[in-house]
Amino acid sequence: MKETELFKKLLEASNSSPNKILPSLLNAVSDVFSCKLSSLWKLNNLSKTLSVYARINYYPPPEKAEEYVHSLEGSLIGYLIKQNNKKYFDIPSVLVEPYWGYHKSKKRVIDLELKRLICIPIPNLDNKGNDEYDIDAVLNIYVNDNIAFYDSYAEIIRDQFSIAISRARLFSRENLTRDIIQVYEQKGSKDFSSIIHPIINRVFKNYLSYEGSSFFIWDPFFNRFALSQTTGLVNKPKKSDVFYSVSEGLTGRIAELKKIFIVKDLMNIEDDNFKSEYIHKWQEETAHTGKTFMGIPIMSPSMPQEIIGILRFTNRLNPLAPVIDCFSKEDCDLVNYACNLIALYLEFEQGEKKQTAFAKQMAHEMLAPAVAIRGSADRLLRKWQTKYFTSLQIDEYLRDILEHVSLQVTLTRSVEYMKKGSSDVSKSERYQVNKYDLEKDVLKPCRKLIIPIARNEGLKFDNIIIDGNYPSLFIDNYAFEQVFFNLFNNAIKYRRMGYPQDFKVVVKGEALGEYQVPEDNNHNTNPINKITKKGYLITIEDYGVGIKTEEKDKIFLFGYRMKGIEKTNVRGLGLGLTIIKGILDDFYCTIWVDNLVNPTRFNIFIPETLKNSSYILEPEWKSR
Amino acid sequence: MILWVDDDLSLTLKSFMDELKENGYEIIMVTNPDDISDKFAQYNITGIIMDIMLPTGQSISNEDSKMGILTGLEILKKLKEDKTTSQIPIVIFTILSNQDVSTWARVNNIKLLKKEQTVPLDLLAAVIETQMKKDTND
Repeated sequence: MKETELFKKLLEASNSSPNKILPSLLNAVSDVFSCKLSSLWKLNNLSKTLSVYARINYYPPPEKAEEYVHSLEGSLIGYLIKQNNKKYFDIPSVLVEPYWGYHKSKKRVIDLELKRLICIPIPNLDNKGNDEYDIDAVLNIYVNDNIAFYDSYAEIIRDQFSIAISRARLFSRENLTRDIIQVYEQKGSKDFSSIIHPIINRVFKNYLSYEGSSFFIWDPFFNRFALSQTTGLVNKPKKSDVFYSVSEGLTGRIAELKKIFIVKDLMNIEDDNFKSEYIHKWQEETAHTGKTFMGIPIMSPSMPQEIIGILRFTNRLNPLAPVIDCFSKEDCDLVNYACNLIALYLEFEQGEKKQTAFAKQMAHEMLAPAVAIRGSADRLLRKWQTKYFTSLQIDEYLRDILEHVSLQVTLTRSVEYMKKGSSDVSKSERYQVNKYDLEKDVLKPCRKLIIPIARNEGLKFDNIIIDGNYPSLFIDNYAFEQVFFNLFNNAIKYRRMGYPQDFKVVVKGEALGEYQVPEDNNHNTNPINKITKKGYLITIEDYGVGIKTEEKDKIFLFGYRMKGIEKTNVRGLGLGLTIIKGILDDFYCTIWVDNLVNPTRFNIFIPETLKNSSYILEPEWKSR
Repeated sequence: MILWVDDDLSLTLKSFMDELKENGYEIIMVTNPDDISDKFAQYNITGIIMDIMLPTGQSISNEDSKMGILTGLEILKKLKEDKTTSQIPIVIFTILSNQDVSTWARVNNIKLLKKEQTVPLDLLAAVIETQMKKDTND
């Protein structure tokens, strides 16, 4: 009879709202067995701690922190769950050894006259088998001596609790996602940060108690993680002053390692990866001293290796009292799940911002030659018939117009190639392949295109030297022109300022042969794996500022601009090398940095395949 | 002497510079804000033509200039705060402007010309209107 009653009451309780399921279940058990005291302890496998999540008939003050959170090691529950294969423990008296020695709250036992304890471990239905204990929680009920308790009761309780906890977890995820969507829908025309504010100040707190949280967003212009929103920082610094570079402090370290980091004591970090970096440059304002911490890297949905934000929390609180608790894998999974959605919103917004910045920069780049053309044409019109305007001047102005028109055409094409790289069309639609002499039809016209830029910068364009042997290839001449134009343009942009005599670019073509080419096309200097390939090698050397070791792996990334370049040059979007890579990848070529500085050397390997046109008949070329 | 701060070097601006020179104005160009104080020390600067999107150099912070997008505006604010330069006539001559720049220009009664809408004669007219001096004591 009692089994039916227990089952019925537990079933009713499990229909409660997700945040009330655990107390409701506990209430049901307490009712059925007339418990003197009952409590549900969740096991945190990361911190090896126990936290009380529901309790009936006993409400100690927060000062008694051990009544809310304590270490598993040395506790009665810790001792019991080490006893293998026991589905439950019926301890006639906790006042006797070994139980008494392990009990954390002896005073409570005496004050409340507790004696018989039934302890039921609740298995974790969602555990993937990675944890030391596959136990989710432990139910402790203190009952009278005369209460009959059978295996079947323990089984019902275990099953109902484990299902309910698993369901509550699932509901929490769903509800949290729904709440975030709701916040996003209400944001209107406000920027992304405006949705983070309610998320960390309100939404997350409905599912996870904590004292402080901050959200940092990757700022590609400054190459750092800038504060987006916070629950509040110590000393209330100006928002624009709060940022972390990669590897700076714990937050920067999380970004560098792209790893979730959870610690139960910020002042005593055991993980070697984070050990020396425990100091927070900016700390959340918290009621207690910052102790427990969870930092989650937010990865780009479209480029899973790229980190776009960091969400961090300080001082988790126990759900029953303002007592410092430890962050758990469950907390992390919940937040991480929500972060996938946040990442989508963030990337969408950043994509829009990038597009706006791109459009603005491009407009600037393309308007510059237009300004020159317009100015020259205006003066020509007004002055060409006057005696003060010599034929030499007319010639100069016309030449000026022509060069700027060519420059504008090239810039317009770069927009086209930018789009081509990302568009969902086949290569056969993107490129027009014909037979071209690489030197005569690509390199030399390209050098001509760079003239106005070189002259504008006071440089001699004949310092772009084209040397060696070049084949005739089946390629799109404009696409390859774009490759070399961008490389020459970069050589100008990243030259040593103030030393115009040092400006020199040497392009050298090697004959058909076997060359060592990076296998993975990851563009690193000294790539580990190289394979021998037959084809042509073009080297492009310049004697500019060079590439810093720490930046060598980033230079081909979309939008990446060399650190500090804004001090001498504000033009450009960091897309030149991305476009180059996109085009060369499409034509089965490989580009990599062979030397970082003095000279900076890019190698381009062109496979023998391009010597004839058969590759454009392959399905890979034609398919989308 | 007119100080022209612009990273579009001589070729793009040739027609505009020729127009000014032809009308008796002397021009000294700088592309980086770090070089401005030297020019004030060397020349009697009687007018300033300022681009907005410029390299930051070491003298303008990335934050204030929004990574160079508003460098020219930061330079102008500094020049206006300095008693020795605050009265020098200014023309903002830039390709892309934004609300911050146009508001600042309006509040400070400074002429703003958009390069893409300007022909050399317009720039000359602005230079004359702001009373930049031709005669110098260099």
